[in-house]
Amino acid sequence: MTARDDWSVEHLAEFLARVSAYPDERSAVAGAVERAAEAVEAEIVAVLFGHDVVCAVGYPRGSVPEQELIEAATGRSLSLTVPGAGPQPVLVIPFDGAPDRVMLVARAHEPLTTEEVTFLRGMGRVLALTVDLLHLVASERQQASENARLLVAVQERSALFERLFQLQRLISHRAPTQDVLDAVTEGTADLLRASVAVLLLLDDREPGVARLASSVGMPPDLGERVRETPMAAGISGQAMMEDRMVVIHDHPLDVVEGWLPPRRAAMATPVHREGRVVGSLLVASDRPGERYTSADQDALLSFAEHVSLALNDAAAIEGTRRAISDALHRANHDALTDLPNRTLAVDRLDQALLRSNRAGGEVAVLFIDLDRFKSVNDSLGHSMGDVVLVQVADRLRGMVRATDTVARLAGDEFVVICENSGPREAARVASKIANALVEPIRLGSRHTVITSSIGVAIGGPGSRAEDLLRDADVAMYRAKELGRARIEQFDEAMRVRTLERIDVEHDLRQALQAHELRLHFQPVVALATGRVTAVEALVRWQHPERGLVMPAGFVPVAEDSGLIFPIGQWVLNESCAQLAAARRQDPSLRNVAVAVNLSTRQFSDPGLVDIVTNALGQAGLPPTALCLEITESVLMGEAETAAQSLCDLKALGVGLVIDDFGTGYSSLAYLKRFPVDGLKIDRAFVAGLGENSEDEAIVAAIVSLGHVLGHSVVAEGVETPEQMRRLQGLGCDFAQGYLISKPLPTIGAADWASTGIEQLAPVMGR
Amino acid sequence: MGAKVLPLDRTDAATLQRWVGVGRSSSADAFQAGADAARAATTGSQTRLVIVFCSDHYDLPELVRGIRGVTGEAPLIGCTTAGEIAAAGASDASVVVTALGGPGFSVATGGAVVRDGCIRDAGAEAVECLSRIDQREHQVLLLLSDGLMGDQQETVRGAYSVAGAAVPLVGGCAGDGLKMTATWQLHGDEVLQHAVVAAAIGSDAPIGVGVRHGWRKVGEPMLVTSSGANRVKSLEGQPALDVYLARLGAPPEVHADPAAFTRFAMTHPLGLSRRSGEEVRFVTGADFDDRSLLFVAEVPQGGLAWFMEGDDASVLTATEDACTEALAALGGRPPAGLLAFDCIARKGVLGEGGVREEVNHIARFADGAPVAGFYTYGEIARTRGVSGFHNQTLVVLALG
Repeated sequence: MTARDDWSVEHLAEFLARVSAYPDERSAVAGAVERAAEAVEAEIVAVLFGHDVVCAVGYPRGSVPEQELIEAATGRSLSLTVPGAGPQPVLVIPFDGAPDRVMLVARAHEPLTTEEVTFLRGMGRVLALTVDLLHLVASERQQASENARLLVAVQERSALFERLFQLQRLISHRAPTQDVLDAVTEGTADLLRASVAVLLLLDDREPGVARLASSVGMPPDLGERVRETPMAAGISGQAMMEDRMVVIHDHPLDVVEGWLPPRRAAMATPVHREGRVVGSLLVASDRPGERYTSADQDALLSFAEHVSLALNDAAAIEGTRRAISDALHRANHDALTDLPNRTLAVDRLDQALLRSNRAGGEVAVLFIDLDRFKSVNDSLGHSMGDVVLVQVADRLRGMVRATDTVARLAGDEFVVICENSGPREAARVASKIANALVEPIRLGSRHTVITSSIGVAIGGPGSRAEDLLRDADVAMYRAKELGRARIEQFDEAMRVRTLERIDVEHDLRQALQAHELRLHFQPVVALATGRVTAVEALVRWQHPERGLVMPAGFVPVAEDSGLIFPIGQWVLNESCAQLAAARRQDPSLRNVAVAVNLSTRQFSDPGLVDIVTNALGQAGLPPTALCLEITESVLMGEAETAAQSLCDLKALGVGLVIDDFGTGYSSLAYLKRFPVDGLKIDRAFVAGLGENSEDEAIVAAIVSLGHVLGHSVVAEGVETPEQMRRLQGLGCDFAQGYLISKPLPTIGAADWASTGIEQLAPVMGR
Repeated sequence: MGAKVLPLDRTDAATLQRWVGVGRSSSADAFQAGADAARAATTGSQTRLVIVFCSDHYDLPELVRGIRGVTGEAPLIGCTTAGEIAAAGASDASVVVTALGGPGFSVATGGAVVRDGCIRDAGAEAVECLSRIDQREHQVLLLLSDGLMGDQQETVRGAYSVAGAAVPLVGGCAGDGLKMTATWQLHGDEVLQHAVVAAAIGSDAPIGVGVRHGWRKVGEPMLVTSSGANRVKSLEGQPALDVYLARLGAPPEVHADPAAFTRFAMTHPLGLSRRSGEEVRFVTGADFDDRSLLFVAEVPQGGLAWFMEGDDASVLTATEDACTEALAALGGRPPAGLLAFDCIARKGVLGEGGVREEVNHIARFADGAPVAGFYTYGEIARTRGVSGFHNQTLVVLALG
């Protein structure tokens, strides 16, 4: 045997060994084709079963010339085109016992030698045998494994369904979520033959951290290790980040997860809640050769879906619970301040009184009303008003014990309920509250100061909630009546007064129609000349039963009730009419003006300017005949209405004077901004002239300020010659008071003569 | 009508349709080195392909950035080497950039990383770029592969399954300066490992390939009686290692010391019997326990093989023959450029002086045309049949 013979035999042996190692027909043929090509260095080798080109090498991918190969295989052609070399003779080797199966060989450059042909024929024979054998074995193998596979599949499926059914029962019976999650990991581990099953859920509070929700087959300290591992680590992390199932078999890396010892195989899939990835479910196995089939992956997906179901369910329940709780809260609390509302407050008071009934002890109820809040609201706007309310609410909350209740009843009314508090304790608390509330409240870049009127009522065993609330309310109103910014404790006398107050308002409504309102006029003299330059109109109420009621007795009620508008309008009209009449009678009064007080409330009326214009028009007076007296708080308000009204009034030509100057909270900037004509020094400062150096200094300052700003200064409440002398000395321009004249029912020089104004000249050093 | 004789002038109009340039830099700064070499290589407009051979010591992304800063989006392939070659000589710690362009070339590149050990698929995927070049009269596929990955014959098989018999395959395996640890392949912006990168080149002018090794057969041919994977277990029925050591008269230290054996084996390869000469297989080592010989590629059982030996004279002769064979395909026209893929084993035989001489030889054949190449861990050249992986061989690609 020559080397050549040996060569082909050895090649054949090697060829057989190779080919039989392939698991199936196609790969055996492909391997054979390649070996043949290499052995004889042929460019083209192809195998055809009938018209099916099983395999071919040497052609560019996708350009196998099937027709040409079929022609050669069937003997209709004797050549094959070798790409790049043109037509070459083709060798056709049929398989034994299967004439339609052939191997084709074509080589460029050199024809095949006899030995090569023999060798190739041998190859063909081997290949044919091998293919047949493979075929046989394959079909048998397939059959057997098919049956086995089916059986296993059926068993596995039913076990899976059983588990899933149990899970669904748990979920629909509203079993605690943790029970469901544990059932999942247990079922997963069992069904997937896994030694480890771990369910991770993302922590709601800490992003990027997963916590252990449930596990099987892991050591007890797993929870900590999980927390320490970055969420993105391992296949659990990958499943969560990429939102897909991750499966690994015989992983070359030793570590799958930071907290899991090495495993042969593992798979993880993401868990969702309401459509978002919230965790992962992982199984891992130690068994050699463990592979997770698509059935296994489906099972894992099913378990993960059930986790999602349970979580969604829990989330839905939680959502409902929260919605109900929110609705309840809203029903019992004030939306703006989140304080309990009246309903809840009454309920709390009832409870407190019940306890007091049982155990003794007193309950204090404090009614807190913010002074002049309406005018603040009107002048600063409602959104600022809301800010004030919220800040007040916060301050109140901070003032009380945990067992006490702070509630907002309505508008600017708050109530505080203190258990086990008697009159002294209540007074202490009220005082604390009053002080706290009077601290300036920041509104953007500005501050406003709100005082409060507080009414206190004390109840004990046997008291009723309604009564207590009403009594505290009455006490609060008393505090308002007495000038606001004070605390009043309820007593029996108050009840009477309150009832009176209600009567007052009732009567006041009819006062206008009943012509019970009167105007009195108090002259204002110029200190330089002693002449009367104006008269201030002061309203009085001629009550059928009570007699003459001063403004203090009804103006607050008018303001609170809104009656101030019609009354104010009446005052304007009447003042102008009376002045006009007086002027007609006495032409020397043509330089005398009438000064009318306007309340801050009236400035919120956008029709104010029209009312003034009408009053002047109807009386036939020029604007210079009218002077309006306004309090400082009107200047403070930046509300559009007030500012606009002021400007419009000034534009009309009427005079503007600030009343009670020094007692309010004027900002000098506003003083400068709004052109007023005069300042009226409050009587309190005038009273101290000659006795009190501070008041002297204040008066001097006001005079100075007024003159610098170009305003006249009027002193109110001048009662003694000494005061008059001091005012003159300080350069004050005008004066008003009992020394000069008390308010008189009419405007007239004759009246003044009888009052002694003429006698003023010596007083003033003439 | 008389036939016009085409002048062998470089300024021939047809030649101006294509240009090839080579630049080299040994700058220590990777970016600078890349930019300098690329600039020197770009001797024309419409750059179609950039081929990079570089030392593995460079910061490769920086190097590529430097090159691409000059060549822009022109297709790029390259790899690390066990030494770079240019007309001026061989060098280490440098980068040699070859650029070719002009309307006479059409080029597309591809790259694939080997996944799950499937080298064949990577080879196939890399050369899919063949379908993206224009139909030109002449074509070649340039392949650069990670030779440390496994049987590189699989790369050739994969490429062949896509390209078919009509397209020659030429190229080499990347090196890493003889460390034998890790090599890199370049494709576009990417720096890859365990990859096959390829450039399909279509040209209006002929392309020639020369393959020679320079080893001589020693003694009678032997039958490979038992082999598998990259291992030959027996020759002529005897343990392969014993036959090898005996036939070649190996010195005593080679019988026991693996390092000594590898050094000896570098100049004593195996030659597989092929129709067109011997396909040389580099003996990488020996298993002293089971007495088998180890290779970088498969040695088919039942094949005939010779032991081989060589010296600088035979190696240099092979150099000349390879150049001659490559240029023969150009039909007498001067080449636009030469690429050389030279096995490190041959460099080992030549020594420093021999290396200089070899490069001079190649440059002479190039006759002034640019020359580039590198020392490889394996060579690819398939012009006939289906086999195309060589060791200890010189492959020369001549572009017309």
